[in-house]
This record gives sequence, structure tokens and C-alpha cells, in this order.
Amino acid sequence: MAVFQGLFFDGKTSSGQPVEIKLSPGLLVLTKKYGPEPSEFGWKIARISRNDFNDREQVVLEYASEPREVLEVNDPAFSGALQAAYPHAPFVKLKYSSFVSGNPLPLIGVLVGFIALIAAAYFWLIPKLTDVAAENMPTITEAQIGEALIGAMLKDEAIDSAKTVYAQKFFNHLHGKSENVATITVIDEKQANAFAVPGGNIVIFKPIIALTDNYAELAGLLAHENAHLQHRHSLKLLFRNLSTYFLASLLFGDVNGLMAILIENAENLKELEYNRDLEKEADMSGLELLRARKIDPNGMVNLFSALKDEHGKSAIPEFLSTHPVFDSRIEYLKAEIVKKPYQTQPNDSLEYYFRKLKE
Amino acid sequence: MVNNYSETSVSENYSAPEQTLEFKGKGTELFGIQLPNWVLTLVTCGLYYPWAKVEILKYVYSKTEFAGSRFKFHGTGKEMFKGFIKAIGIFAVLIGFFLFCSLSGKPELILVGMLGFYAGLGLIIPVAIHGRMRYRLSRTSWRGIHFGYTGSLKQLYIECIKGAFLTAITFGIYGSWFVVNLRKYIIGNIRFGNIRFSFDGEGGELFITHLKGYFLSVFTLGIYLFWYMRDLHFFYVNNILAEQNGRLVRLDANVTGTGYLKLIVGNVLIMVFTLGLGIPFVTVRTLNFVISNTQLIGTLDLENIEQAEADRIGATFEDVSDLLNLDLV
Repeated sequence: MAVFQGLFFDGKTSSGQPVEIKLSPGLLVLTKKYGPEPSEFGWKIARISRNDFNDREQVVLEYASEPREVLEVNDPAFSGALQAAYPHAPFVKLKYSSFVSGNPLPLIGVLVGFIALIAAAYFWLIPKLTDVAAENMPTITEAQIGEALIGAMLKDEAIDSAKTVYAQKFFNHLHGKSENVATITVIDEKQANAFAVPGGNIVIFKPIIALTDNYAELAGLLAHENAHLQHRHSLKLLFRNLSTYFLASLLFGDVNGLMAILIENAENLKELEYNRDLEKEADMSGLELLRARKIDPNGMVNLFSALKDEHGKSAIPEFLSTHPVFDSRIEYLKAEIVKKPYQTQPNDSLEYYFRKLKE
Repeated sequence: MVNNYSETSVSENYSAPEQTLEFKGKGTELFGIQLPNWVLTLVTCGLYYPWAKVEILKYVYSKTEFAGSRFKFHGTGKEMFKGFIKAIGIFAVLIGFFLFCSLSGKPELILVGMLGFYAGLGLIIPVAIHGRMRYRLSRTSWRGIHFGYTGSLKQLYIECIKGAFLTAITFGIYGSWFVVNLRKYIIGNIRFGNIRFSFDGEGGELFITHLKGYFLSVFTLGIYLFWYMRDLHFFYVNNILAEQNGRLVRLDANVTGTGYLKLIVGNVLIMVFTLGLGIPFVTVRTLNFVISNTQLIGTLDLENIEQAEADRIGATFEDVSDLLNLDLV
């Protein structure tokens, strides 16, 4: 029977006592080599604790005694001898043996699976879940979030109250309803822009009104922004950003930064560029509204042409931009208009409020 | 007569290994452990995280060798899970409070929410440090001897509040002294059997190191940063003393600025080209750099470190009532 040399620690002091180790059935027999008198004692195999990361270089065993005793063996052959003598003992079963034994196949398999899992979570699960979450969020909560956001956004802006009233009336007539479906605010700003805020708020920057030549164009713009609200696009985007970050913090163990993104999102919502798919969805839904109200759908096309001229030629290729480049938007809108033609009707109320807005 | 040969023959036949620190982990091994951890964490929506962390700690400890013997981490996923749930709970309350105040739309309430949130975070930090030191150290052993932490939470709070206050009114200048005092308190309460630790550095020294590091880094367009890190490393490591029966032993780091440069550039490249999957390799490189470059000046009597108050430590084992392992903060 093979005899191994090891160091025994009794758990009371750090003094290592050299021992000889014999592997007998159900028992490790340890013999202290030095001392007042060489003494022999046994470790029951069943009471030796599990060890996750034994390596061949140094095997460390721990015995469930009080205090715990420790045995160190620096012999490359010991690990194999233990395995042969006690194949079912918990301490010889390495938890990660298949991953650290040198055969790379299981590791590569798990790696591929893992990457697939992340990709599935990122590209499919998260968008699905966040869309469902955003759609099912109670209207009251959405309104509360929107109120806090719009308050912060409009705090330092100059609101044109006269035009705000006309724009609100224009919007209500666009819907053909007397109550406010959404709250419109017109502000003094330099760029031509407009955006929707959760909870039914649309903010219009004055220069975009100057860009429009007839009420159908303005109707196209408001129908588009209204569609963003109807589909809760900004909530969806906020949720998606949050959960992507959550996925990252899940993997890398950082929970704290979650707050950072939350705050950052609230502050940057103004600059938020809607994702291209969401833009297209808003364009198409906006078109539906124009059709239902028999307003000339070319208004929307003309609006984008005007915006395109305003921005000059976009230098960013479409695949890099979150906003579909105007050309492509004009194209798919035109195609949609040709596909479903309808009779337009002049709308005097819209015409009236449009004139007021242009004054 | 019988005892005659015993003492001498031990030392003659068994040559004590050199008292050096070494890290023996391998990136590939740690990767093999980390990968299934990631998968399980993802599949369980994060609930597996505490167990994953235990696995990593166990591996890292068991690959750290001092004088020929490995360290051991005795913590369990279950214990860590309890701490994890508590941490999540506290965060949920804090974030909930913050959101509630923010959504109210009232400026005063938003301010209250912000202040409450940051005050809450600040108040958790001492609890987190205390819980972590107590838990980690009580579950760390070497040659069967356990580490321990004897600090009191109250004293730590006093240190933190005093330090934070003085740092605030001196516009951050006191920060160096604050950090050093905290270190003195925490390290001063680490026990390993009959070995006590202490931190010997002074706030002024740290302040000068920061000042010099900052200006030289600016003048050299950031190149000096690596030497700045080296200086901080020296300050934090070389000032740690271990005292055993009145004899002092000092830790001594021999890292270089070039070494830091290689470490960090390498780590960044690994992270970038593996999209983060190479973290285990980064961990191993870093631990290897820090641990294998640390030595002892003087020798400890490793044959005579006694288990301190074995009963009390036994009780600590079962004591999970404290806020454990809040190092998520």
C-alpha cells in the first residue's frame, strides 16, 4: 500500500505536523512521524469535507472535527490515489472537473450556448417583455411619470401661450373631439422639432410651424407625434434601455449603476431619438389618422421634404442613424399613399387654426 | 528522556517553507468556473449570483498560497443569498422612495427624495463595510486558523460621519486623512490567531502622493498615471504591519510603473477584444500582479499561530443575523 507524506494541522495552532498517510478502506490512517511518541489516528472518509478545487499540485482536505483539522499533501500522485481508493467520496469529485480537465469541448459548448442565450435575451426576450410591460403599465402611472418629465423639461422654456391654445384646438379638431386627447405645448426654440412625452404631452418647437405650408403638413406632424403617444414609444424605449442595462449588471455584478441610467434617461428624453422601427410605426399610424379624417396624406410627405431641406443633406448613412433618413421615409409614405388612395375633404376648422398659428 | 529528541528533530527533518505569497490561479480554470456561473445567473434572473460569487471566492482563495499553504474560503451560497436578498430589499426601498418623490412633481419633495436617497446610501456604507469584514474574515482560514474582525459598527459610524463631515467642510482635502483613518480602524481590527494587523500610513503622505500623482499625470498627458498607481499601491500595501508577540513584520510590494502599464493595457485589450467575456483572465492577471509581488519583511512564527477564542469564532460561524456581505454596494 502506498504511503504518502503530508502536513497535519490540528486547528488549534498553525504548526504543521508531518504525517504519513495510508489509504485504508473507509479510513485515512495518519501517523505522526515525530513527537513524544509516534502516534496513529484515523480520519473517517465520510467526515472529510467536500473540496471544490483540489488540484494535483496540492491536495487540501478538511475534517469535520471541532476545531476543524486540515491535511495538506504536496504529492502529484495523491489525488489519483484518492480517486482510485474512494471513487464515491464527495471530496474526490471535483465540481468543475469537466471544465478544468483540459478537454475544451464542454467549455466551448457552454460558451456557444451562453452567447446564444445572451443574444436571445437581448434581441428577442427583452424587447418582447419590455413592450408588454410598457403596454400594460397603468395609465395613471404613465401620466405621473409624464408629468414629472414634462415639468422638468419645460421648466426653463419660453412657452408661447397664444400659439399653444391654437395648436391645442387644431389638434382637437384633427381628432374631431372636444376633450384633449393630448396636451400640446408650443415653445420658442431655434431648431425645427417636436416630440412626444409619456402621459399625453406633445411639445412643438415654433420653427417647425414656420416650415409647414398648409394645414395638412401640420396635421401630418401632429398625427405622427400622437401615434408615438398611442403606442407608448418613449416608455418602451426607456424600459428597453433599463433592461439592457439590467442584463449587463446581472452578468457583471453591478446593480448600483441602474440608478445612473434611470436618471440619465429622464434627463435625456428630450434628446431621445426614437428608434427607427418606432418611427415607422408612428408614421404609419399617423397616416391612418389622416385617412380617417380625410386629410391629404401628402401633407406628411411634404413635411418631411421640408425638414429634409432644413437639415441639408444628411451625412449619416441610414444604417447608422436611428431616425430613418428622410428620403426613405418619404419613399415608404408615398408607396403607402399609392397603395391605399382615398378622397380628401377640405377641413375649414383646421385651416382656420393653421392660419392663426402662422400669424 | 523520552522528550529529548522531539523538538529538535522536527526542525531538522521538516524545513519550513519560505514565507512568500503567491497566486497560482489560471485564467482558463477561472473561466471554466465563471462560464457556468454566468449561464446559471442569467437563467435564474440573477438569483444564482450569490452562489456564483462564492465559487469565485473559493477558487481565488484556494489558489492563494502563503508559505506553501493555501487559504480557504468557508462561506456558502446560502449565507450570501440572505445578504443578497437584504441588499436588494434595501435598494428596492431606497429606489422606491426616490421614484415616489420624483414622480410627485413637487420640487420640495423631489429634493427630499434625492437627499433621502443619498443619505440612505451613505448610511448603508458603514454597515456594508462592517458586515463584509466580519463575514469574509470569519470565513477565511489558513492552515485551519481563522481570521477575525473585532471592529464595532458604532465606532465605524463615528469614523465615517466624522470623516465625511470634515471632508465636506475642507472641500475634499481631508479625504486623504479620512481614507487613512478608516483603513487604520479596519485593518487594526483584523486578527489572525494571535497576529494583529495595523496600518502605519499617514494622511499627509497620501495627500502628497495624490497631489504629486495628479500634477505629474497632467503634465505627462496621463503617462504618469501608471506610476501614480504604483505609488498608491506602495502606500496601501507597504504600510500594513503584522504583529505577533511584540515582533513586527511589514508587507512589502515590489510593483513597478511599467508593470502597472503592462497590466492595465493588457487588461483593457482583453476586455475589448472579448467583449467582457475575458474577465476571468483579467482577474487572474490582476491577482497575480498584486499577490505575487507582495513580500514579507521579517518572519512570522508560523508554527505558533494559535486559534484565537475558538469558541467565539465558532459562534460567528452560525451568526448570520447581521447584514452579511453587503459588498454589492
